[in-house]
Amino acid sequence: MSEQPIRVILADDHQLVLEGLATLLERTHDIRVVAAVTDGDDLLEALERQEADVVVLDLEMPYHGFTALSEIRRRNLPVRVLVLTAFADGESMQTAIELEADGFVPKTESPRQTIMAIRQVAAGMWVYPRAVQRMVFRTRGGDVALSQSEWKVLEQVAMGKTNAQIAETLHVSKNTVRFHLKNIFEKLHVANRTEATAWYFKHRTRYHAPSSR
Amino acid sequence: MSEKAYFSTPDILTITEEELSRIVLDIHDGPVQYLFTALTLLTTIQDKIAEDPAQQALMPDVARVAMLLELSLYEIKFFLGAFRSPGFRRRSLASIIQGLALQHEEATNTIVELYIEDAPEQVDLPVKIIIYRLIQEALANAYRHAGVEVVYVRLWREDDWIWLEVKDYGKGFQTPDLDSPLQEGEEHIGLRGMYERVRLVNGEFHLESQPGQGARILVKVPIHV
Repeated sequence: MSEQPIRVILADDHQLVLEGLATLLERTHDIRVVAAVTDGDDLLEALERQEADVVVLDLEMPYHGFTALSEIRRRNLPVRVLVLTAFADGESMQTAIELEADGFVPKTESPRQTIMAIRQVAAGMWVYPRAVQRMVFRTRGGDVALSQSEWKVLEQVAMGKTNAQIAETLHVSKNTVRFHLKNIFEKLHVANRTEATAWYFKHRTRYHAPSSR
Repeated sequence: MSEKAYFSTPDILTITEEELSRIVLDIHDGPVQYLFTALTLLTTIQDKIAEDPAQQALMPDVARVAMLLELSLYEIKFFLGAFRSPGFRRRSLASIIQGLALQHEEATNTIVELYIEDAPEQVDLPVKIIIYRLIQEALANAYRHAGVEVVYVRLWREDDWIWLEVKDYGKGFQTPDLDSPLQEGEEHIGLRGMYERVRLVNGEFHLESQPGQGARILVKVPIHV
């Protein structure tokens, strides 16, 4: 993996934080800090002058971090954005998703997490706390990886069949049906048959059986 | 109480939120940034020590300091999360509650099953605050005492009223008499807080629970106060 280092711009209005992060990142072999800025205006300017792979962005900067982020997206700047914030509250997470940040790491976690997240975001991964991943999955339908058999069971459930009837129709044991159901509930994040049925009718046109994808 | 009060009773809720916001911001701008930077520098020092065999003896103490810093940040995170006011003025009731559910799920690794049906767009500020703080308290209670992984929250509208139900199928408890005077060292201070807030806006508060039977809170508050 002897590729180019990841070029990072740090954007944080706390000078101390900038210096600390720069010192930490300098010691990595694969990350290079190419600029450090303390407000959103300077960030946008830096992006005009300097190519970068990842912006590490504090949300609470003057000329708000979120404003800078939406401007980066509006101008279609080819850079990934990792939000680094001391506020890991619901509102901050919601806004980061709405403005399509590539990642979200709280400052309340170990700085090693920040390094890891920079690498992941640079590699094109979507780095968010697990509850956010669950929520996005729920609201967008997500990438539901139901197996062929699970889809068949779900269809039967949606038709109001009992486990015994499903077992008979699909020529499998009742235990197998129960096993599939448990997995389906987990994957769809639903609690019972009614919710699974509701999910099915809401999403079946969008997420057809995997064989047709 | 004098008839010429300077602010209406529900206003006190808004004022409290603003005070909280100030405290939260101070902690955010000071201690959190310092602790994070200290931890960052310490991580660099740990890396240097790891490279130098002569310094190995320092490792355990440095690791202990790092752990203490991490722990401090971790605890402050909960404090900031719990007390920070969401954008009550800017955001809709539904959006605020969705954020709260997300935050709770992330902090506790449990599930909030949230059903919002026909939430009104325009809700008076004190009512938003009451509903938000009430759900927050109810979720915290369920997490601390009910021993469940899923809590159900449902919110809906009927005419000029908002209904809210928070339900779990956990351990349950003997319900206190919330109309009786507050005792010193009372256990159910959180429930009292909910009850009193709801009464501030002439709403209704019902609590159902029994040991082993889960718990259900049902609340009705006006959209406008």
